[in-house]
Amino acid sequence: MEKELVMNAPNMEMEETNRSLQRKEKREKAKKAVALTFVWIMLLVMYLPIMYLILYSFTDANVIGKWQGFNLDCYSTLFNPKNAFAQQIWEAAWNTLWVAIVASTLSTVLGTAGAIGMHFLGKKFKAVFNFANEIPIVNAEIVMALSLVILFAWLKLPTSAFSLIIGHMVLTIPFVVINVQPKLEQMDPSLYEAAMDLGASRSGALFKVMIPDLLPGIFSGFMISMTLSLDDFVITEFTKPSEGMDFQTVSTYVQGTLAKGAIPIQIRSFTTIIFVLIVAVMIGYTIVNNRKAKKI
Amino acid sequence: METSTKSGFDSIIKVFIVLSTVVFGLAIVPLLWMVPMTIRVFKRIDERETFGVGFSVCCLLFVSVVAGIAMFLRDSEYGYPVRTDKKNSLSHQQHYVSAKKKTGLATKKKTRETRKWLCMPYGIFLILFIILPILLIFYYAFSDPTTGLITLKNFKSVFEGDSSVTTFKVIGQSLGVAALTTVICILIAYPIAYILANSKWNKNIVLVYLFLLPMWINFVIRTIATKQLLIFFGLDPALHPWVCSIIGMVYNYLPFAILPLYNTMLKLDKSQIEAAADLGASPVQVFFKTIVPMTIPGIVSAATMTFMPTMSSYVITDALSGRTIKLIGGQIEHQFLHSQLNVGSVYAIIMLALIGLSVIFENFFSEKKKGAR
Repeated sequence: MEKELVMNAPNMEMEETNRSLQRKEKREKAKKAVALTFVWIMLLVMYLPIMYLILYSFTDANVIGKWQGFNLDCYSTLFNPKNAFAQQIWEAAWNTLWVAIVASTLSTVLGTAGAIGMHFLGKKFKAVFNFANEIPIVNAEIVMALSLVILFAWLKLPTSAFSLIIGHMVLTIPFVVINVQPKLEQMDPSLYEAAMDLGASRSGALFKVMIPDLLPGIFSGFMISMTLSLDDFVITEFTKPSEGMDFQTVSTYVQGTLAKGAIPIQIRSFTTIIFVLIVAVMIGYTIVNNRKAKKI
Repeated sequence: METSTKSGFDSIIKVFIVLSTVVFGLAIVPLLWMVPMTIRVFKRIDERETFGVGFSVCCLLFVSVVAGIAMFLRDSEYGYPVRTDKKNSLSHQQHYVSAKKKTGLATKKKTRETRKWLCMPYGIFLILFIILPILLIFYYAFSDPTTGLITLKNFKSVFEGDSSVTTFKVIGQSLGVAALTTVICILIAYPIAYILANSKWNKNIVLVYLFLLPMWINFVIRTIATKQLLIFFGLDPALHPWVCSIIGMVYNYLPFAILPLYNTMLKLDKSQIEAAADLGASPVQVFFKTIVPMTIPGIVSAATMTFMPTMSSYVITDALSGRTIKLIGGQIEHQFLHSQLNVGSVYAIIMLALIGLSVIFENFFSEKKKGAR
């Protein structure tokens, strides 16, 4: 190889280099076009099922491929409080939302405190904590779910809203911790001590100096928690309240209706609305971010 | 300040706080805050320090009323200024330090110590809801459901006679689906991540977001939509269970493979690639000799992100294979639905073993990479 290199020393005329440069540019452009086409085709494939749902939310056909004319039945029944399916869907949606908010908030508080504490532990204890924190990330969700069911069975407690929240916390806390940890590593340790020396109380130094530094990590931990919790099926299915009223989140509700037969057509309009909301939030977030970047 | 004298309240506080921790601790959950608070109370007493208003109120409300009141009395006995006025906090701080006759270094060390205790609630959460339940799985797998005595009955029902055939079939199918999904996901995700991370081709982060966006739509709904779409294209899940299941799995886990790969590709050392090309390596050589080795950490984490959860995603295979492909996760759910927690635990242990193996596998590869450096 090395011998070849010496032989290959550039010894060309100007015209030729120019032409080869042009050729190179052309080739680069072609490459870029191919690359981006590939990416866009993959995106299209990934969005096909969602686009199908959106398209068929404007007809009341039960089976795909049987377009029964444009109508807004999916939407009008979804917002009809007397429709049984609509009631079930909105109740499931509300359950999903409150469980996600409560579990993520608790996870964020407990996980952030845990991460801060772990940061100041000795090496050995820190390693032990990190290992325990890895368990739920590496472990299969279904094993965690079954183990929680067994814990509650062992304690002779029925599964309830409490076990559901605990289940979602087990799922999400590790992600809060691993999101806060890098921010703690980056933090300037002298700042906290300076605040203490200048007379801040312990809690004052914690909340006014340390927490603001960690805020981006805490926020992304919270967002990941929400994402995981909203989308969760397995842990919810296992730890959801078993007594009293039929408790369903969106995942378990859809899975349950599928087992019984066809899913209600209102799910299509519901998903479309969620999708539009997510896209709107994404666009808003990008615009705000771009503005911030421009200001800096 | 007579800081060295013992207060009569010390023992009262200690007794009551331990008593209430033990009593309420039976309900398990209160241990989450009670144990750390008790330890802190003991430390403060031993170090002859005041508790402070906030901490005393918390003890009064959440641990023990008697201990809380005693804590207030002890604080007032010691005569430390109770910090209520923020403006004077500086002088109080100095007051504290002089009273304790501690050097600045000691104070610093102490603040480190107190911050440590912040991880106590999380530590107890980990023990109660993560470590203890996993230990219980082992206990349940080896015990009789009615008597609670140690037995191998549950293992026998899974590994003996006809059931062993289905068990090994399930394990084989799980590994097969997981391996195929992982390989296909990485083969598709690798070029996508490479293109997205290459600043020559893509400067827009929005494109990356677009790949992640479907994750926010409920995955059960997405799976059902995929199923109907596959039927529309003539792929009936009942007739082509493997093809349909793998498509569904890849579709669901592709974002999880793209993200770690994209993150490692962003950090690629461009000069090394250019150097390889300048030194006469062909594009194929450049790819396999420089780009692939540099992205091995990303490949390993993408593989773990897809391989491990795949084995438990029985919802996808149930919907897309007409229930012909059974995963270990599905077996666990089946036992759970029939209240057979003991047999379910056996399957959970099989799953844990497989996960353990893949973790060892993952570590082996990342260690190798480190050694190569």
